[in-house]
Amino acid sequence: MAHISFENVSKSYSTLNVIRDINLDIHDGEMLILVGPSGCGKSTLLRMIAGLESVSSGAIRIDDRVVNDLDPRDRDIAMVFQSYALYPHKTVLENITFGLRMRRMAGDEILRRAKQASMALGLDAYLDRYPRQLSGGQRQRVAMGRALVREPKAFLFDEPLSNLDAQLRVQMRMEIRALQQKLGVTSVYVTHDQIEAMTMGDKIAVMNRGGIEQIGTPLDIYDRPANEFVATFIGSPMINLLDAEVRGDGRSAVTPGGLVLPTGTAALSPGEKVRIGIRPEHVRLGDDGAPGIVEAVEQTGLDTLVLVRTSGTAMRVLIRERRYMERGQKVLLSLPPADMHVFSSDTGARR
Amino acid sequence: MTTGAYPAANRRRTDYGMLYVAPTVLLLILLLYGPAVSGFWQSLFRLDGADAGAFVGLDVYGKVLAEPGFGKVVLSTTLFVVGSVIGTVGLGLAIALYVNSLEEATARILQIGVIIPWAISSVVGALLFRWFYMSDLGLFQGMLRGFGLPAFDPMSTQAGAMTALILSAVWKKLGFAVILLLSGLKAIPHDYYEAARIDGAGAFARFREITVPMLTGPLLISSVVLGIADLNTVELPLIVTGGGPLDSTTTVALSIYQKAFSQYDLQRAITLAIITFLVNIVLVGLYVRSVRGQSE
Repeated sequence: MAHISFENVSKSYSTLNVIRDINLDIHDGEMLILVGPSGCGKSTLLRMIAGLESVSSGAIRIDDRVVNDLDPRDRDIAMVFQSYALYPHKTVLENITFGLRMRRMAGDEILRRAKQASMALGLDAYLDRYPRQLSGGQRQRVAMGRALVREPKAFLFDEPLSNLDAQLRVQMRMEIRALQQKLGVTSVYVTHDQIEAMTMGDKIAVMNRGGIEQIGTPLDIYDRPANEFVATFIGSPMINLLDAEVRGDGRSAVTPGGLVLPTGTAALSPGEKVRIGIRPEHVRLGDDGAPGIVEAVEQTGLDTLVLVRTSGTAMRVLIRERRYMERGQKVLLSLPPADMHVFSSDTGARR
Repeated sequence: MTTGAYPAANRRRTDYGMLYVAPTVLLLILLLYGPAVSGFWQSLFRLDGADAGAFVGLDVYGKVLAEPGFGKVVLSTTLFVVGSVIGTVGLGLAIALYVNSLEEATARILQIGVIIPWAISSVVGALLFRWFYMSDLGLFQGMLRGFGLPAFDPMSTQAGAMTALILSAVWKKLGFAVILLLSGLKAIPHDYYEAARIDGAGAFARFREITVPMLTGPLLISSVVLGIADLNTVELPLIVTGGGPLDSTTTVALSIYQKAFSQYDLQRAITLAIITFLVNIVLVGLYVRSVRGQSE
């Protein structure tokens, strides 16, 4: 167990900055999720912790020791790869114990740990099989087992579930989280899947173009996105974003189409250009409010997603129940002031 | 997958398929194996002399195998084939590993460098080596003089001639081994090495635990292919050493050539050729097995 910290960490290939000035603290036993669109640098950042990528400037510390120039094997971390990276010519047992053999651990200790890990992961029946004889889920478990037996200071996960089908992914998501909490090992988990990010992490760092846009608990980030990027990246279905101009009272804004939106408590100056975000589940269809027309209806069985056109803008509305609606139906939309997110049009930052 | 697993309709389709390719397969068999079969048939009869045409069965085979020169030919062939295969594959692996660690552009130039000898006609290549070792004017002598070493003609000793012959074979076929092994190296996913680095494996452990086992297929295949080529090459021993001194570099292929075209002893030449053919079949069997092992 360990804490990991980043201090002004950057990485560049000649003129291209792939990681920009990262400051980040991961506490002992915490699970941090690095989430962002592809190419945002999240995998690179993870590989920098592992020592597979060099650091151009700044310092990465594991337990207060700067590890910038430390070889991967001396960092005492274990990593689960997206491809699992299981050695095809070695059996499950040989794969799991490879790291221990390389560290010249005593034979009976290796066996004890392998037994323990394979029990925990339900692999005991497959120890003499080869990776090619296993299903995707079993391979994933072997990759986990290889990390587990090492009993490292930290686990690093690089999109470990992206090769699994949806059902298995949900199951493994819970198992990994449960295991991590049971062992209390500091973990960093990279994903582009915001549901994984929301459900698995103690903390989430949302990344974009090599930098961190926001760090916080999952619900914090969901409820108070620091900027437009975070607001659109986290949350499904996606948040509604409307261009608007603050009205004279400073407490509401109006869209070019004439829709008046409350702006809540943000201190705004009249005439300021803003973008107003409102999550689909916060828009209410009720007895009063702005008139709109239903343009499309999607039923998931559990809830209903409705696309409503009002004052020239399309608005996603999520109703947390099954409701039968039709195209062309007239509805009234109400927008609670407390659920409005106001962002600056210029910088995208939260106002 | 066995054909038994196919439903009947599919099996009928396979049968039709066989019918369609049959003419080509027959023609190929005739062209590829016709000469060997006809050669074997002829080797069972007396080819010349007063009783030409008389059936002698496997008599000549017994004689050829029992001749005192035969053991020596087998020995020098084995030395030549094993030596040049080990040399080519060993050096080829070293170069492939080095090239694999280089950047794209540099790697390409080096690759072209090692392929050129392979692309050169083998007679031209062999002549180059003969001139290289030539006793007075050769580059080799010049190099010895340049380093202040005493003059030494490798062709005058048995070990020297064999080494010179093996070196020429290694030089000639190195490019082939490098390309094959390099493509094998490139096929090993980078993740394996990264996982091993994190797992604590040093450079040598990574080579032993990942590179070697994952390169078994290409190593086997290149060894067998090179072995077959070396076994059957006539032009290298013929031109580089001429089989000497004292027949110490006369390989079986050169021996067949000499018997047929210098001594006009077609009877022994054809018998020896059939024996060599059988050895080739064994090597091809090995090749097929290693290719199959590779795809599994």
